[in-house]
Amino acid sequence: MNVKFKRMIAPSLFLLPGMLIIAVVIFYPFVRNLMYSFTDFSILRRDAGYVGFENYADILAEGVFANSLKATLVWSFANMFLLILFGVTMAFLLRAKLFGSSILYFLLLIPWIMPEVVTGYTWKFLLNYQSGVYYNLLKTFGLIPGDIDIFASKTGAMLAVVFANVWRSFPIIALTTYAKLKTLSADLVESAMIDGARRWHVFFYLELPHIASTLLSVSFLCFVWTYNAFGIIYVMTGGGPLKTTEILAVLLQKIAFDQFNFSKASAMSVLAILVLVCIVATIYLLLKQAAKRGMRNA
Amino acid sequence: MDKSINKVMGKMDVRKRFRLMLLALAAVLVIGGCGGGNGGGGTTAGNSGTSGTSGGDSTPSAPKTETVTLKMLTQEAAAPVFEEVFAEFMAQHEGIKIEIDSVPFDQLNTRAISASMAGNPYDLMEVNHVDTLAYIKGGVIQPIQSYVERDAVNYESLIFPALLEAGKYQNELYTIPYNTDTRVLAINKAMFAEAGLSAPKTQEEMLEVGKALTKDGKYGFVNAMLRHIYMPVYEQGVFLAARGGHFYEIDANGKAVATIDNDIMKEYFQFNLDLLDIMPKESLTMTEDEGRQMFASGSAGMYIFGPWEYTLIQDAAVDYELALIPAGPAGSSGSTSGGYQLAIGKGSKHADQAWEVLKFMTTDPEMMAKIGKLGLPTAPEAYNYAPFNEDKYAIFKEQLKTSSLPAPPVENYSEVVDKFNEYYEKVLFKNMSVEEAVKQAQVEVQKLLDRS
Repeated sequence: MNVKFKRMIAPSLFLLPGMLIIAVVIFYPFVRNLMYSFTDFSILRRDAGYVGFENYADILAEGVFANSLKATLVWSFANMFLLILFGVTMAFLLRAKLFGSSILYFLLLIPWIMPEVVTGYTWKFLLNYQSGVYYNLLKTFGLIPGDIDIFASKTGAMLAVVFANVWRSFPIIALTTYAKLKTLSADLVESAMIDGARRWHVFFYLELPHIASTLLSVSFLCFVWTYNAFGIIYVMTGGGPLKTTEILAVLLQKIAFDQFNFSKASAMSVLAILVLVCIVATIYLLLKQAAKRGMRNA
Repeated sequence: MDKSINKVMGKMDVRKRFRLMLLALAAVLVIGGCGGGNGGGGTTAGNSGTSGTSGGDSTPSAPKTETVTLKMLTQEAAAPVFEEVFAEFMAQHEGIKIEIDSVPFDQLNTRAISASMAGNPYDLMEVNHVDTLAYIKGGVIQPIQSYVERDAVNYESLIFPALLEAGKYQNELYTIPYNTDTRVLAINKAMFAEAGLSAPKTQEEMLEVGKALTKDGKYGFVNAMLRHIYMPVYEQGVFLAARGGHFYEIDANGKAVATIDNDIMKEYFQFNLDLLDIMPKESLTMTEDEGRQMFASGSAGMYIFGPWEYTLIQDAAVDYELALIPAGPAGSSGSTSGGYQLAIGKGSKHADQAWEVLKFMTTDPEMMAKIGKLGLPTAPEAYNYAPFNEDKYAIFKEQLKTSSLPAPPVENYSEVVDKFNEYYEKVLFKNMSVEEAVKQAQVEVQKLLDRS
């Protein structure tokens, strides 16, 4: 009994406070949110009643959620593509030890530490019709067709918010990937080159497999942050034009705190989380397979 | 050796304790004496009742004033106004301290509701008139009728009755409207003088004047048309109000009925489309502040101007004057009103003290003038005090005569407005014809009204 207590029960007792904290801080709000989604709880009905799947049925029937989900997916995947592209490119640039790369290393941190809302305002000013510095630059290079207001165009508004977010978030991918890249043995690369490997061989068969796990982890984090982002879009477009950039986080805020419909917002957030989990799981499996294949080929 | 030290220490402890007790007793006597001298005035009467019954035999019957700290929620822009008034209140009421929690305008609801749901409500709070009904039904604020009756405050004689009605529900008073507003048309004097024009009297004239002013990088009119869901019913809504239109009305049976699929609304939508020709291209995406900046910099001839703009464009480069909102086809001007109210949070632990503060602010016309600074005061008498006795407020007083709420708020007002806004936006982006938009909006808005 004494031995059993020491081996089995005692460690669990030591873990109990930590688990309780996790339960209170992480699981309780989620469970509570889930419960609200099956009620008609709102500011007008605090003594909420059980309504089953009514909120879910309403949401799916209205089409507002579908539109917002579409916007969220466009926003998230566009961001991820550009974040990885710019992040990995920057990591290699940093490793190349070009002139001023140590300054660049520190400068890269500035967008990342800047509050989301400040980033939003900054980019809004930069891209403002006629008065924005970047707007005029893009116009000079003929990258803006005709005389349009970027934020009044569906594609333009989405691109604007995506670029603002990429600018803010790509440093985290760049810096973590760079840190991992530095641990790749220079001898290994050198011997591969001596054996006749070309630059792209080194990248695909040595460097990419080496950074894959780190890139995967940080990309997941960035995906979740991007999927749930709110400040940049709220400040730059408010979800417009014509709800093109009204991603789920913006829609949820509106339904919960402008329209006071907490149960509907809860149901939406549950659906949003389910979609997020499905996407993350799929990407994880795909990337894991790809990484394995890469390792095997290497 | 150790023993002797302990002995000494022990003795010292006893002595120290004795001295401390004496000191404490002396302090109590001194403080009690001072309290006895000051406390006679009883300036904190009404809030010292909670200080308990000491029933002591030797201490004088000095009231033990326990300081109560009230929490007030307000929007950032209003915080300086309240700080000034609260300083006066606290100088007169020693036992009450007020802490202001100011948040951006768009976070007012989030903060109030979160605090209320967490069981830690604000003692005092500012409520946007469009949310009052939801706050009442949601139990975020509490009725103040019993306090009003107890202290025999006659708000009917102090505040515009129509505005006071907005704070009532089932014959009970919940909120005190502390500011209201209306909107007029601001005119860029230099641009008008240069073009030899005068302020437009009708909306048709406004378009003509605007066309004449739109040249050389300058525009006839500027306003953020879509950035906020309330834009089409409040800011731009002045043009609907001047046409005698509303987007819904309450019928004789008390039912909210959408009034969108009609000629007035079609003309209003078309007028907004026509306005785009005399406005900067980014008007559909600019923020309110960007619109304001454009007018303030002198790049636009006309702008919708509320009394709060005086503080927001103080250092404007533009020299402007104000005119009534141009009339609709029927020939009379009109505008939209809104405003903010003050309420006591339901469940407030210091509701009695919160009421004292509320009463202090809302029963004296001079005080009403002070707290009404962000808009217009809700008390007729307050217009006799600065700054509302200045000429610059005369136009607002005039416009108020023909101003009204865009519609009487319903429980799901924000949702209804958002739906209306959706169709208004589609028209302005030329994604839907005016005919189709009013038809669909009529049906969709009515569905939401039926739920309220």
